Amino acid sequence: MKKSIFFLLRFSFFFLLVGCAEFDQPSIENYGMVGVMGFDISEDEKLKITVALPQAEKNTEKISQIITVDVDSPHRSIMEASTESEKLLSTAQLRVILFSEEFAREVGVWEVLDNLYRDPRVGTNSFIAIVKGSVEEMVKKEYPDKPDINRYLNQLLQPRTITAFSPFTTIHHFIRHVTSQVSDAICPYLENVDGAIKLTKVAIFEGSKMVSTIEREDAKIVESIKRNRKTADISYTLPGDDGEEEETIVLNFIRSKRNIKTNGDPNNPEVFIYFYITGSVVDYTGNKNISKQEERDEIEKKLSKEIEDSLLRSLYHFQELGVDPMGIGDYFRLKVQTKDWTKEYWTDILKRTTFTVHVEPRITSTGTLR
Amino acid sequence: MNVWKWYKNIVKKTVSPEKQKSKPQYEIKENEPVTLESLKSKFQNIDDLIIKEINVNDEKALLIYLSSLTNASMIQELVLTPLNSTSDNIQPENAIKHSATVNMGDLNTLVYNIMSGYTILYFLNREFILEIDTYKVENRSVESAENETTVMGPQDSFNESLTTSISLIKQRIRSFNLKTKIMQMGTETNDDVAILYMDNIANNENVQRVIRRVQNIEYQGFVSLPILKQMLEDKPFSPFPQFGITVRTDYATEALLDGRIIVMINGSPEAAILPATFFEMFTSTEDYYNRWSTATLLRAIRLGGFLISILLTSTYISVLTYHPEMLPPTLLTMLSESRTQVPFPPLLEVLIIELVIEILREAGSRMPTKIGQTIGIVGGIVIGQAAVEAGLTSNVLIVLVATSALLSFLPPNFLMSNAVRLVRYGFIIAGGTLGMFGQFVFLAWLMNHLLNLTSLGSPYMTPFVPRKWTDLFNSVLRAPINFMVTRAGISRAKKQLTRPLDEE
Amino acid sequence: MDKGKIKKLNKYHVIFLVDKSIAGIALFSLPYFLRHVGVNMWMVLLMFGILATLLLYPMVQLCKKYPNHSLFVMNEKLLGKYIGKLLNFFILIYVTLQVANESKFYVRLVQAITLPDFTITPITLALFFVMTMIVNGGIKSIARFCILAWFLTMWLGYYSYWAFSDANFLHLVPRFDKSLQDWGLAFFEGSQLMLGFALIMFFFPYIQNQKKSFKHATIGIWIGIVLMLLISVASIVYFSEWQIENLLYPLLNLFQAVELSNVERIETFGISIYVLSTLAKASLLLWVAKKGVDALFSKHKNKTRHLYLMTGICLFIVLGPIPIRYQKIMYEEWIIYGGYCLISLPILLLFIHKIRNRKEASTQ
Repeated sequence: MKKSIFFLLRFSFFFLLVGCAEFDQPSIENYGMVGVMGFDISEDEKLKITVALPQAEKNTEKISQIITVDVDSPHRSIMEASTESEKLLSTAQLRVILFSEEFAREVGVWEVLDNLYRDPRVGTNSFIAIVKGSVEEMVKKEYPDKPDINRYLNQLLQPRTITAFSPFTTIHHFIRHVTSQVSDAICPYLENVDGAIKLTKVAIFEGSKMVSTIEREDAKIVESIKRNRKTADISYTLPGDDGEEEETIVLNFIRSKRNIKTNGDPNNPEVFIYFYITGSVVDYTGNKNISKQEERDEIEKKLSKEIEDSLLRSLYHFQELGVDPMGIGDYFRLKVQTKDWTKEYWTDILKRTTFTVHVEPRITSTGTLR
Repeated sequence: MNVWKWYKNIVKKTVSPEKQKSKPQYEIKENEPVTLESLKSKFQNIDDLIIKEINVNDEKALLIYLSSLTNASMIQELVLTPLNSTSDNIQPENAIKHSATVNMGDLNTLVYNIMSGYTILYFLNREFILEIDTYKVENRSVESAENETTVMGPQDSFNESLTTSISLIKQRIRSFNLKTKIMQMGTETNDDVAILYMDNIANNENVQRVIRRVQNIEYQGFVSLPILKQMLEDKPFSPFPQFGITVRTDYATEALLDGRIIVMINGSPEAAILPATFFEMFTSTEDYYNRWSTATLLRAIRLGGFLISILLTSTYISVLTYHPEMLPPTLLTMLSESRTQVPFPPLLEVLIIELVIEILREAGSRMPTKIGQTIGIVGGIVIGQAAVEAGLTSNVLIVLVATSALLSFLPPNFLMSNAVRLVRYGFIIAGGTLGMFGQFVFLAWLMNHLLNLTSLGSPYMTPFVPRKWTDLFNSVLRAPINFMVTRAGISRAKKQLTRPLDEE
Repeated sequence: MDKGKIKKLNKYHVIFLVDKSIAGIALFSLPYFLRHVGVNMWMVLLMFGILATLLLYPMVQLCKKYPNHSLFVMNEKLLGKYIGKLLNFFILIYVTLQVANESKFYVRLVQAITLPDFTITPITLALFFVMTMIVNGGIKSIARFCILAWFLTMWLGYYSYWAFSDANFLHLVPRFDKSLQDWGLAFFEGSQLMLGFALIMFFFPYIQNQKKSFKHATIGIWIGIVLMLLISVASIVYFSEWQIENLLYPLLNLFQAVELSNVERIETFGISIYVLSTLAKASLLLWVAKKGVDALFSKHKNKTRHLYLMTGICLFIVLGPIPIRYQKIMYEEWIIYGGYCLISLPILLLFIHKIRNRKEASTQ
C-alpha cells in the first residue's frame, strides 16, 4: 500500500511544480517566429541580416514584420532584432535561409550554416537559396498578391514535381555535400522578375563559395543523375529534318534511371554515364506521326542527342570549375580503396576525367490521342 | 497501508472510546428462547407490526407480521384460507403446506424472518410457532437498461430485487452448474449478497477468493453494489475500476459463461463482474451482436479515443508553451492568431475550459432530463461561442476540449469514463509543467500503475499483455465468432474451450 | 496470482529485459560512439552481437550452477565472504554510476532539446520519481514495463523511412580505410551500447525456464542489435562522414528528416516518448543497485528503504555538484572499464567453481 502515498505524492508533486513554474512562461503568442533569415554583405566586414517574422495580430496593415540588423553572427541578429520587436524572437520556426549572390561568392556560407546547424532549435529542414541582388530588397519588397513573405518563400522552395530541377537544398543537404569528400553542393537561385520571385537557375558551389550557375533544363538532368527520383517535365527543341522547322517536344510523368560506371584508375580516369528516361508526350509541334513506332524512334534518337549534349555541357562546365555536384566521386571512390582520399585528390582526378554519356529516352504513351 | 493506519489512529482519537466500550458496536448477538415477551420487547416501537388474535380449530393463535412487507391478500391467500380447512385431523402445519416450524430456542432467526416479510402463527398454548413466507412488496418492474442501452440484443435489465435479478439470469442459464451462494451482509441491514458462478467453468481459486473477501467485510450495510465492489477491489487507491459492473442481463450471462463470478446485492440493480480487465471496460456486449469487422472498428475507436482523450488537450498546452517548433506553418498562423486575444497562459486556459465542460456535465446529469437539455444548449453553444467571441479562449481549444470530452464518454463503463477524465487532468498539469516530457513521464507512470494493477489477483492489463495468445482474438480485433473458441485468459477457466474444435 | 512465487519471469519477460538492458538512451548517440570507423560502423555492431552472444554463454552457464542465487550471492559463495563483499561493493558502485549515467544522458538531452528554459532538476526529479515507482513493483513490474516500452517506442523505426528515401546507399559498401587504432577506439566507446546484457546474472534466479534462458537472452540481444543496425544504416546513408564524426545526437537529425503534414520536428516527440525506454533500462539498473545494497547490508533480505537510499544517491550523483572533469572520467571511462570487468567476471567465477568442485571431489 505504499503506492498510495506515491499516488498522493504524485499529484501534489505536479501541483507544487505548477506553483514553482512562473506563469509568465512565454507561450506561442509571445514568440516572434523568425521564418526567413537573409544574409547580405555589409560594410566593415559584418553581416547584414534581415529577419522576417509573421504577425499574429489581425487588422494589421502588414502581415510580416521585417527587421534588418548589422551584426557578426547569425544568432546575434536574433538578439539585436529582439530590441526592435515586442516579441521574443525564436529561431524554432526558421524555414528559409537566403544568401545574396555577392555574399555567397565572396564570404562563403559555411560559417553561417555551421552556426545554424549547431542550434538544436533550428530545424535541419530549413531551405537554403541564393538571391540575385540584395536579400533585404527581396524580402522587404511588397508582393501584392502574396502578403505573407514567410509563407510565400517557404512554399516556393517546397519540393514540387514541376520545379524538380531545383535541388531543394536544406541545411542538412548543404552540410552533407559540402563536408563529403566526393561531391559539391548546389542550391536554388532566386531572382526578382516583374514583381514576383522566380526560381530561375541553380547555383553551384565549390566548397562553401558559390562559383557559377547552371540553367534549368541542364539542372533537371543533373538532378536526375544525382538521385533516382521523379523528374520535372522536360521540354526540348529538336532540330528539324533537312531544313524543316524546329520541333518542340514536352514530356511529362518522367521516370528516370541512371547507371554510372567508372574504371577506378586515378591515372587515366574514365566515367560512363548511362541515363534512361521514360515519359509520355504532352506537346509536340513537329510533323512526325508519334503514334508510329519508326517515327517515334527517330524522335527518340534526336531527343537522346539533345539530352546527351545538355548533360555533357554541364559535365564540362563542372569539370572546368573543378566541382562535382552530381556526386560522381562516390562511384569513383568505390573502386579506389585508398586511405588518403581527399576532396583535392578527387578534384584533381575529376579535371582529367574523360566522360562518356549514353542517354536512352523512351516515349511510353502519347496521351489519349493516337 | 500507512495512510490507512494513520487515518485509523486519528479516527480512534476523535471518536471517544468510552461510548464504544459501553455499547460495543458489533456485539455477537446472544440468542434467547422465543417467548411472547421477548418477541414484544424486540418489536417495541415498531408500529407496523400487526399482532392479531385468531382462532384456529378452537385454538387461540397469534398472527404476527409486518404490514409494510406484505399485504392483506397475501395473508388471506397463504395463511387464512388454508387455515379454514383445518380440522382435528388436519393440523395447521399440515394445512399450510409451505409453512415451517420454528425452533423455539432461536429468537434471532425468527426476528430476522419477520423483518424479511414472514408471517408467523404463534400457538400460545402449545408454545408452537409456524412461519410462512408472505413477502410481497412493490418492486420496479423489469425495464430496459437506461444507462447501458444497446440497439440489438435483450433489453431487460436487473432491478432492485435480488430474486428478480437472479431469476433473470437463471432464465438464461438452465443448468445445475450455475451455483448461487447467498450470504447475509451488513451488521445493521442484514442484506442478501449473492455470489453466482458456473461451478464447472469458473476457477475454484477465484471463487474461494471472492467468498473469502465477501465474508471478511464488516460494514453496517450496503446501500448499493458499487460500495461493496470498492471493498472487494485489489487496489482501492487506484482511480481505475478493477471489476466490471453492469445492469445488463446479457453481459452478466456472458461473463458467467466465460468463467467469471457475479456478485449481486439485494436492493441494487447492478451486478459486479469479477475479475475484469482494463480492456473490458471498453467493450460492450453489442460488439458480439455486430459483425466482426464493424465491432473491430468500434473497439479501435473506443481505445484510440481513450488515448486521444487523455493526450489531446495536454498536447495543445505543451506544444503551445514549450514546443512551438512542432507546428507546421499553417497551424502556427492559425493558432497564434486565435491566441492573440487570450489573456491566460495555455495551461490556465485549458483548465478553465475543461472545468466548464465538467461542470456542464455534472449540472446536466443532476437535472431532470428536460432542464438538462437546456443546460447543454446554454453551456455548449452559448458559453462556448461567447467565450471565443470575447477572446477568453481560442476557438481551436474549444474544438479540442469538446472532442476530448466526447471521446471520454466512449467507454461503455461509466466508472472508466470518469477515470479517463480524471487522468486527463494529470496529463494537463504534467504537460503544463514539463511539456511533452512531462506528458510522457506521466504516461509512463500511468502505464506502470496499470501494469501493476490486478483484478482478483490476475493482471489487469490483459489482453494487451496476453495471458494466452488466443486472447488477441478478442481484443481490439474482435475475430469472427467461429474463431472465438477459448475463454478469456483472465478468468483462468477450468474449461478452456467453449466448443469442440474438431467438429465442422 | 504471482505473489509468493520466486520464479516469475516467463520467456517474453526475459527477452525484453535483455533487449532493453543493452542500448538504452545511448542509442541517440550510437553513430557518434562508433564514429571512428565511419561508414563501417554496421560491421562493428554485428561483431558486438557475436561477441555478446559468446560472452553470454559463460554467464548463463555460471548462473545455471546456482539457479537460486544472483551474482551477489555467488560472489560471496565462490570468493569468500570478504572478497565477495568487496566485489559486490564495486559492482554496486558500477551499477549506481550506470543509473546516473543513463538518467543524466537522457535528462541533459531533454533539457537541451525540448525544454531549454528549464534546469535539469525538475526533469530529473520527475524521472526518478517514476523510476522508483517502477522498481517498487519488483522485477516483474520492470519486465512488464520493458515489454511495454519496447512496443511503444519500436514503431518510431518507421520514421527511418524518410532518412532512407533521401539516402546515398553507396556509403554502405565496406571501406577499409580505417586504421586498427580507429577500430579499437570504436570498439571501446561503442561497447557502452552493449555492456548491459550482463545484468541477466542478477535477475537469472527469477526466470521460470532457466534451461532455455540462453536462447531467450540471445533473441533479446539480437533484437537490440537489429534495431541498432537500423539506426546505424540509416545514419550511414543519410549523413556524410563529417556529420557522423561531429554530430553528438545523430538520431535527432534523423528524426528531423521526417516530414509529416500535421506536425513537424518530431524529434521533440521522439525524445519525450523515449522516456519509456530510458526508464526501462534505468529502473532495471536501479533494481540491481537496490539488490546490491540488500546484499551488503541486510544479508540479501528485501528492504524497501534501500531503494529510497539508492534513489537518493543516484539523484545526488546526477544533480550534485560534481566537477565536470570527474563526471567525464566517471561516465566515459569508469563505466566502460567496470562493464568489462563485470562481463569477464563469470569466466573467472566459472574457473573457481571448477577448481573447487575438483578439490571437493578429491577430498572426498
